Amino acid sequence: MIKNYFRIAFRNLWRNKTFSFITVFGLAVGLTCCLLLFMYVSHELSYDNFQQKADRIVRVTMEYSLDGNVGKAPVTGTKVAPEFVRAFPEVEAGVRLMNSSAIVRHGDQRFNEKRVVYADSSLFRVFSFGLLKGNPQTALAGPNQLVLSKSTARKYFGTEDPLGKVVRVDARRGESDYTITGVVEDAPLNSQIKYDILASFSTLDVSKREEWWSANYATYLLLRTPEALAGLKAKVPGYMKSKSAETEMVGNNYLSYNLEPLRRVHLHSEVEGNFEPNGDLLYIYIFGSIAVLILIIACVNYVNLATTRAVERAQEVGVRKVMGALPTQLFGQFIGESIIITFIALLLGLLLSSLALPLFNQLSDRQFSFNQWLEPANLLVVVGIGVVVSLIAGIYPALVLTRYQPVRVLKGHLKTTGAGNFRRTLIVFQFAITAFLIISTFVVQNQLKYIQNKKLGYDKEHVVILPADRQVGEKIQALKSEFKQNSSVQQVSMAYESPVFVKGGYAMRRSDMPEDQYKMVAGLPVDEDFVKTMGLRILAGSDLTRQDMQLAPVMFGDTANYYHFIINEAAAKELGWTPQQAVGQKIDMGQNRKGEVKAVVENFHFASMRDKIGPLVIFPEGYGNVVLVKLSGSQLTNTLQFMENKWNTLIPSRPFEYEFLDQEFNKLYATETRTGRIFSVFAFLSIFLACLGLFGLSAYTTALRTKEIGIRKVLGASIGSIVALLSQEFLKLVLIAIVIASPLAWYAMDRWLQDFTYRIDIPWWTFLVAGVLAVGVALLTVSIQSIKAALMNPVKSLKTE
Amino acid sequence: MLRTTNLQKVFTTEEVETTALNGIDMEIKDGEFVAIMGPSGCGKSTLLNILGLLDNPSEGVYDFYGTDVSKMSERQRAQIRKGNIGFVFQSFNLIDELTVYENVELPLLYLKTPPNERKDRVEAALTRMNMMHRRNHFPQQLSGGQQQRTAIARAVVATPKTILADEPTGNLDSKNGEEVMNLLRQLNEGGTTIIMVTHSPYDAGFAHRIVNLFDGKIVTEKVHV
Ligand SMILES: Nc1ncnc2c1ncn2[C@@H]1O[C@H](COP(=O)(O)OP(=O)(O)OP(=O)(O)O)[C@@H](O)[C@H]1O
Ligand SMILES: [Mg+2]
Repeated sequence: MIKNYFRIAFRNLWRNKTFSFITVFGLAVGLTCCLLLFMYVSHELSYDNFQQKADRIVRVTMEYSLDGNVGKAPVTGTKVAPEFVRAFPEVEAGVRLMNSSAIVRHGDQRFNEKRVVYADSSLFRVFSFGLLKGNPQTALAGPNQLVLSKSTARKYFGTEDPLGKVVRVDARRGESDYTITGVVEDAPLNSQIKYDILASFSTLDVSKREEWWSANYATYLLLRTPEALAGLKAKVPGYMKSKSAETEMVGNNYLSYNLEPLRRVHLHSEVEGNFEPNGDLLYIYIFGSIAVLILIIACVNYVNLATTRAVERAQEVGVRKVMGALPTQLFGQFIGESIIITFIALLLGLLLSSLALPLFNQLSDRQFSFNQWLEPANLLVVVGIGVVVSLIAGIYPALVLTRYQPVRVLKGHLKTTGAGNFRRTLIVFQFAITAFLIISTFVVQNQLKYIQNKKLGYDKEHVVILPADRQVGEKIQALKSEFKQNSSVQQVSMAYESPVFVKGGYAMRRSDMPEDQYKMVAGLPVDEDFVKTMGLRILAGSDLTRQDMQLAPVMFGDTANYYHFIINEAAAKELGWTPQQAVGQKIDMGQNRKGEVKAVVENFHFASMRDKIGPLVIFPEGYGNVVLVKLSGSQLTNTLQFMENKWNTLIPSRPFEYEFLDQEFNKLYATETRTGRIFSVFAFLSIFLACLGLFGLSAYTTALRTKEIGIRKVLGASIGSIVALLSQEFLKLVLIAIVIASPLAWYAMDRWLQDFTYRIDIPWWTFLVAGVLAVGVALLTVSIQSIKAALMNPVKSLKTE
Repeated sequence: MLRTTNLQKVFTTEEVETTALNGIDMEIKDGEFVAIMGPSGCGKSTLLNILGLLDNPSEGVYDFYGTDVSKMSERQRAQIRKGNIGFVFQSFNLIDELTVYENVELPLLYLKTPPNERKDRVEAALTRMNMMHRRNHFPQQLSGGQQQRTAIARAVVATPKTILADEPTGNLDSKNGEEVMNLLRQLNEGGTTIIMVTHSPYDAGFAHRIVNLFDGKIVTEKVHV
């Protein structure tokens, strides 16, 4: 019997090639989207699952309050880990980590390593990073020890055994030799801790002191039992209060710590990630929904085509019933058919998704590999998806088919299938999803364009950022004059960080304010050429000079000097001054920087457009992590080559690296850009799938109406009126869909835009364009069929009955 | 033996009620060959469908070999149908996606006949209907007569006691029609009860008894000798 079903199924597929193609290919494309998005979602959800002790590990984040300003940070001082192990019996171990970068030299090779992580030797006790070579107890125990990841080891040493080898590491804190004491598995892609090289924490000077402040270290604790977390969490604030003399947080000020279960960090933490940006639950929902929606569109195609074609199968159903088939047997047969079709589509979908994987990786900024599908757990999900889709798509057509009464169908032709309204509802539903995705795409793209084109208040075009360090700082004057020999180089400046996203937080006060009052502001140490290089507009006062630089200390802690500050409009307003009033006023930045306002600059976007522009203080200080170079924009390649040559002669210790400021700027909106791209691709696919279904359906209904068309033509109907006749029904449905989708899309997108302080209003024409687009494509699809039918010779079509 | 008592069938559509059968009392003995005749729309097919357990009467009793089947569910009727009744239609009703062999095999599949026996019986039926040489053809590749012979092979393959035929020669020319009638007669001679609806007096001549319907009622019965 099963064999008979298979035969029928395959012969049906083979005989109606157009429909089979539409059904199978449509499902396959839908399943491909679903599989890829599932991969993304499951990857995000699987973060840190591989850690065997995950349920006992917590991340410690810092929370402090200074005069009502509450701050949260993903880092702590060096004291937290050792102190908590001593003070709380429920803590079994603690580990401190610091993410850094370094230039590593091995022989005459030089590598710029961006993921060097300093870690306590307890790392291997707490986390399940598999040590391939070396002793987990001692590998990170002493100073100047390195554990390389497997791929880093291969990069440096090939097949040689790296254990015991010595490399020279030039980190921010100076240069020294390190001995390689181990090789560790590469950090899994779904690990919140990412490293290429692990270095012993005891190498750092700070490891010798235990401090609450100087919070630069990620701290993780291993608890004795998972249940201990709640109790410990409750104890911490009280404990920290008892230490207020040490932390110097008195009165209403406090310093305390939150504990987050390891597996919640990536998606649920309100504090950012230490090693890479955290994921966003919102986008998990968005991508998950898109996957489901696309799959629904594909299923709807199957249901619609299958129920339409049920007419053709009616006779078969009748015959089988007469032969004694039970309704359950017939139901089983048609569900079986849908399972066969779905699994053919699933195989095709797996093939398509493996082909589309590189593209999807680019789209989603991830590194998935096809092998992930072959893991048993995922394979189970794939099969599960197949079964669910077969059932969702198959049940309704199977019911329709099984319901046929043999006495009715065997009598002769059966013209209607009775599922007309259901089918219409599904088409509306399908196109509503499509219209929703199109509108959302437009809105996301528009917001991104708005961000791109918004006047930032500084020049982001043709500005090159060169990562720098202490040694570059020492040579900065020479570098500037060398660079400027090239006429394309307009300005060169050194700054603590790029103006795209200024993170540094400082306590600022007007000198006439009481000692314990201050305002939290962003602060950016720069040199005298910064304002010119970035094209900031001075509203009052004058720019920094070389002399201002000399008055300020070269190194932090040198207190005898006097600062000239540049503040932005927002800072002036915060302190109660107009730009003109502000100039010449005395202010302090923290304890050690006293001076006066020298200029006020126009507000510029030094943070994400999600937030309002806040107060900012720019001040002269002779150290920085970036060199900013403003170019004229002509002869870019030559100029960069020129700069590289100069750099290499002046600063041989550090490789020349550059990035454009607008690239850096775009990184701020990487998530949104990614979402925008994913939206576009899937909106396109959804419209493609919906039209594929419409194409099949219109082909079929047109074929059913061949006779009617013939009669109408004989009676004198024009081709145009026949095309209109055949198309209007579908167009009506698409229009209803757009009307339904528009308010929903408006609501959803307005919610999304609320994340941005600087945002577009959803333009009314998005709905118009989305509507015209959906209707246009649908019309095109339907009219291919109806024009063909309308052009057919009526004599021929009348003969078909 | 089949016996109906006061059989009624009323079709209710949106506006109209059609009484297709109005008090049919008839008895058909094992091994009989009965022809049902009458003008178009008088209820012949309706009666045949009820006799063949494809449909339920609205009222009345239908005694099928000692069981009243008039109120049975589709499921129960399907169980009785298979193996007991074979059908031959005017429009053949072969499944286009199955070959001649597979079409004939179908009733045995639903009876869960073991594969070896199935093969023997399908081949025997095909040989009897002279369709063995066409067993791997699809219905569209056959003439009308060949299609009807296949349909008859399918009707007899499960060796049912009763065969119902609704205008079996309606779509055939006279030569093919004659051939089909001869096959039915041979089956009847072998002991199978045959109930046939026909418009053709010539075909009706093959039957032992002719039942004339008019407006859902039996008007005359004529017995051949
Ligand atoms: N499913 C149905 N719904 C409504 N009315 C029906 C249905 N089937 C049959 N009828 C009506 O019942 C009456 C008898 O129909 P039936 O098909 O039995 O006629 P018939 O004697 O077989 O005619 P013909 O010789 O043309 O095949 C007709 O008036 C017909 O319109
Ligand atoms: Mg009839």
